[in-house]
Amino acid sequence: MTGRAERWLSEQLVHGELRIGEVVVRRNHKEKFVIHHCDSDWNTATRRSTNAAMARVFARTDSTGAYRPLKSAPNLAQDWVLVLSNVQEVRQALDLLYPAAIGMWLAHEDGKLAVVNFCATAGRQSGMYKIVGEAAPELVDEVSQRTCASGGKCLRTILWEIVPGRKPGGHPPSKFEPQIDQLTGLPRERRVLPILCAEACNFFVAACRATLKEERADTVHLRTEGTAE
Amino acid sequence: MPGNRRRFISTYGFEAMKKSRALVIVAHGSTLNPDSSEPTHARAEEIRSRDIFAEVICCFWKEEPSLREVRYMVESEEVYVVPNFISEGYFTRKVIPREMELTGPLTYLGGKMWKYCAPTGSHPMMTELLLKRAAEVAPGVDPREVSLLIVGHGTSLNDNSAVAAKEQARRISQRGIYGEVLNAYMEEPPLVADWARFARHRNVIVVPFFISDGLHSYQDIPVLLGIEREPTAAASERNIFRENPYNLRGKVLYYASAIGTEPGFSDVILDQTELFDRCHAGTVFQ
Repeated sequence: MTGRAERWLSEQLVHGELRIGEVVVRRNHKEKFVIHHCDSDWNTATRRSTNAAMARVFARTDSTGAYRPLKSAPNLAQDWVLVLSNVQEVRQALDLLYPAAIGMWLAHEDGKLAVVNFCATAGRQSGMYKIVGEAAPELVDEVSQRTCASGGKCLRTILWEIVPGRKPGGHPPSKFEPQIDQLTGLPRERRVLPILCAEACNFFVAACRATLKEERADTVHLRTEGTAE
Repeated sequence: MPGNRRRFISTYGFEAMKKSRALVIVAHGSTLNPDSSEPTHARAEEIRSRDIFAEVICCFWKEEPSLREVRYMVESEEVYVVPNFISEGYFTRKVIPREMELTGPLTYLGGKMWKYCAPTGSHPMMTELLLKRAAEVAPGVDPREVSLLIVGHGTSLNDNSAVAAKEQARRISQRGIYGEVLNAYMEEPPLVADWARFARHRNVIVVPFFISDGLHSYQDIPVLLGIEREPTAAASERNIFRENPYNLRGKVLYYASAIGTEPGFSDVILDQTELFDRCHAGTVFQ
C-alpha cells in the first residue's frame, strides 16, 4: 500500500533532495536513496546501513554517546549513512529520525493539524503532572526559553500559545513561523520540511513540573527559615 | 514456545485479514534510559517483518512519537492500539485513552476506527513466558529445589503491577513445578531487599515482571538483591544477566532480564488484536 506520506515523499524527491532537521535525503546515481546528516560527508561515514530500522540506532545517542530522548534536538550524530532501496524505507527511517514530522506537516497542509494551547495541555494532566495546571505564563516563558530554543535545544516550529493570543515569550518571531528554517534561521527553501510543534510535549510538561516543584521548595525553605527566626 | 506461537496464529488465522490495518504499540518509554523503549521497538520490528499489518508504529508517554502525535503517522482506516504495559491501571485506563482521545474500546476519530486492546501483561500467555524465562536463566537446576520470585514494582502509584505479579505467582504456583513461588516488590512488603530471608530454597530465581530492562531491572533491583552496591549508569552493555549465578547471602541467585524483553511478546501483541476482534465481534459503533 502506498500511502499519502510515501506519495508526498516521492514527489519531493523527484525535485532533488529533502531536508528535515539535520537530515538530508536524496537519490543517488544508482537510484537508491541516501539519508545522512546534512553536515557530514556520507562517503566517509563509518556507520553505514541499508536497513531503515537502523535509523533508530543512529538517532538514539549524540556524538558523545549521550541518550537523545528528544529527536528534534539539534545534536544528531554525524558519522552514519543509510542507503535505502525505496520510498517506503525512506519514510520508515524518517519516522524514526524525526517521529511524526511528515505526518504532522501533511496534516498542517490539509488544515487538519490540531493545535492545542498550553492551558489545555496543562489542564488535562493528572497524577504527578497535575501540578502543571498551576503554571503561570511567566513560568511557561522561562521553561520555553530553556528547552525550546532553536539554537541548541529544539528545531521544532512552535504553533501553540499559552492562552489564545499569548505565545511563549523569549523567542524570536521566527520560532513560530513555519516558513523559517529553524536550523539556519533563514527563509525556508521548498526542499526543507519544518518540524511542527502543535502542542507542548511531555518533555516540556515535565520541565514545567520540575520548575514549579523547585520554586515551591524554595518558597517553603524561605518560609521555614522565616519561622525559625 | 514455538508450539504456542503456532497455536495462537493458526487458531485465529488473522494474518491475511489485517493487511489494510495499522498496529500501534503504546509503551511508557523514558527520557533517561534508552533501554526502556528497546523491547517495544524490537517487537514492532519483528511484527513488521511478518508483513501482517500495513503499518506498525510505536508511540510513547515519555518519548517520541508521543501519544498525541502518533495519530498523524497512521494512514490506515482501522487501527489496533495495544498498550505494552504489564497491568491494567492508571496508564491503560486513564492516560492512554485521554492522550489518544479514545472514548472506549471502539472510537471513531479523524476518519479512522481505533480499536483499544487489552495490555500485553494481562494476556494468558504471560504465565508461559515467565516459566520459559525462569527455566532459561537457570539451566540444569531442579525447579523443585528453587524459590522462584516474581518481582513487581508495588505501591499504588505504579498501576496494578503488584496485583498482576501476585496473580502470575499464583498461577505458576498452581502448576507445582517450582519448590515455591513468591512475590517480592521494590516498594512494598515483601521487599526484594529481604529476598534471602524469605526464600526457603538455596537456589533462587528472580524474574522482574516489567516491560523493559530500564532503571528498575538494570539498576534498582540489582542493588536491592545485593548484586550491585550502588546504582550505576544505564547499562545495555553490562553483563548483569550473563554472570549468573550469584553466590550471595548463603544462596545461589539467578537473575533474569525483564519479562517484556521476551521475544514471545510479539505473539502476545498480535493475539491481543485478535482477542479484541473476538470480544467485540458484532459491536456496532454508535
